[in-house]
Amino acid sequence: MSNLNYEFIPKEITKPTVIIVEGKDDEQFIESLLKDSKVRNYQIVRLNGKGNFNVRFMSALTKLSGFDTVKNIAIVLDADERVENSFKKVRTVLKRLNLPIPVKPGEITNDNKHRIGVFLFPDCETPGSIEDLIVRSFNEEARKCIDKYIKCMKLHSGATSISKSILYSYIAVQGQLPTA
Amino acid sequence: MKYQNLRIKNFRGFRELTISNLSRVNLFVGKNAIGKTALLEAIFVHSGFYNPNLAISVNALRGVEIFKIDPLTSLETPWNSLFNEYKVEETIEIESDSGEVKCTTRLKTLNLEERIQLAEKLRREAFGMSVFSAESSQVLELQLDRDGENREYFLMLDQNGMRLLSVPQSPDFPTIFITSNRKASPQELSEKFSKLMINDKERIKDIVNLSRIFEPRLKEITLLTIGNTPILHADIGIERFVPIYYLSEGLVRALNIGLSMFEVRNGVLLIDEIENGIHYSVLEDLWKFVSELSKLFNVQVFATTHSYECIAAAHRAFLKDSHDFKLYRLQKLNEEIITKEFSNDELKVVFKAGFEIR
Repeated sequence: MSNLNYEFIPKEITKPTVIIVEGKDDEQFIESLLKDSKVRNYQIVRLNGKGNFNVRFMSALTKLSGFDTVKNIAIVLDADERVENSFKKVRTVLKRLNLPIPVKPGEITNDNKHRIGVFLFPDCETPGSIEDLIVRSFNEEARKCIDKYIKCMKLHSGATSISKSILYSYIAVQGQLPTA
Repeated sequence: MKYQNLRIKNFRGFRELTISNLSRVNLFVGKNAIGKTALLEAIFVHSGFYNPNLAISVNALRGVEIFKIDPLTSLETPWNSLFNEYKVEETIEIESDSGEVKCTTRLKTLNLEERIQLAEKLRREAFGMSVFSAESSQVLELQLDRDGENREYFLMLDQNGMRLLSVPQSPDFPTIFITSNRKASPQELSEKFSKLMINDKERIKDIVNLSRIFEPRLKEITLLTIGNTPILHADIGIERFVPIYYLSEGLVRALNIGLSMFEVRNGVLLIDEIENGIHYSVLEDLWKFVSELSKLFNVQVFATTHSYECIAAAHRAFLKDSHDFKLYRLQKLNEEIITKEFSNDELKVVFKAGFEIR
């Protein structure tokens, strides 16, 4: 009976830690990552696209009931082509909302009201995306196979990142790969 | 616009509440008991500042009419509940700013010493005649400061009941409070309809046209008397006229809003729980109806709602005239009630992301 959906239930801010992510994949990644960690009392807010991270999004979020009790905010986005540009955009938004601004990605700042950290995939230093970080975790054998497969099938057109193609190829055969 | 900014102090649940940048149509949301109705009451008392009786009639709007209080045995007066935490020694202050006119209403319960002074003053003015006994009565003083011009009025409660000690003036503009719990009576609606027909009979067409949202068959509204009671009837294309009360609650509510809008032209309309009796599918039309009429009759509207659908409908209805609409949420922060104002852009984010806003 619990699957019955009688009505649309709007999302409320109820936890002291809010993690802002780009989309569903990021949400699942963070949830899996934090499953075995001590971080428990958090909630994830999806932007549904990096472009939606802007002043009006953050100002609406900070006005929601329940936001007054939020202590920690993590903003997790892709670094994309340039880490500095992505970070600068986040800094601009935080500044406009009078929120504390971290010095660099991966560092946490604190103004006694909020602790804020900006985390840019894959590692806060290199350009790229969440896919780059995930692909890094593949074992060498699997990686070789997929690279060979992509090359042979001429799958990667160059339009998207190679990591995305590698990851999707991996997902397509997940559970069937030889273990390292 | 009548009010651009408001400041309410020591009234009901508000210790001090500030609302800025008010628009032509203003919607207030928030949890139960946060003070949405109290906010409308504060505006009502302030708008009718000429009359301290209004301070009491707001209790009647809530369905509380306790006037049988003996001032000799009880210190409780009907106005005690208006004061924040019942602290009658504090002064209620409601301040408004229209951009041109600044107005402050102060409500104050006089202590014995102040009552003695007032009784003395009035005795001198009445050539020695005793106007009231300071010991056996309670007095509510209403001070009005309108752009530096001061007036004061007194509402007195003693064994003989309640009376005003000075004749109130007419207000600058009319204000109507449409409550959530009381349906407009046939007499009330008939009176509003008659006022409209006497003053500007052509306008009924606008109201009927807009009311068609709630009853598409509606052609005409007329006043018929049944058993000594005048009742609004509708022509819906059948052989006979039908009392509007038999058609739909939405239509009655819409007509009440429409006719009230005319009655308070160039004034203020307060609507508590605006969505009551209205199906969600026509809520957007209801807001368009409110928007059109408030423009037509130059009325500033203050409404409340509990409904997410109603807020979303208002946002959609005012997308083109977003400067004419403002949403405020009342919420508690460290035991104080505060307002959060949402811009049109922020509302877009709220509805896109499906955030809770009520």
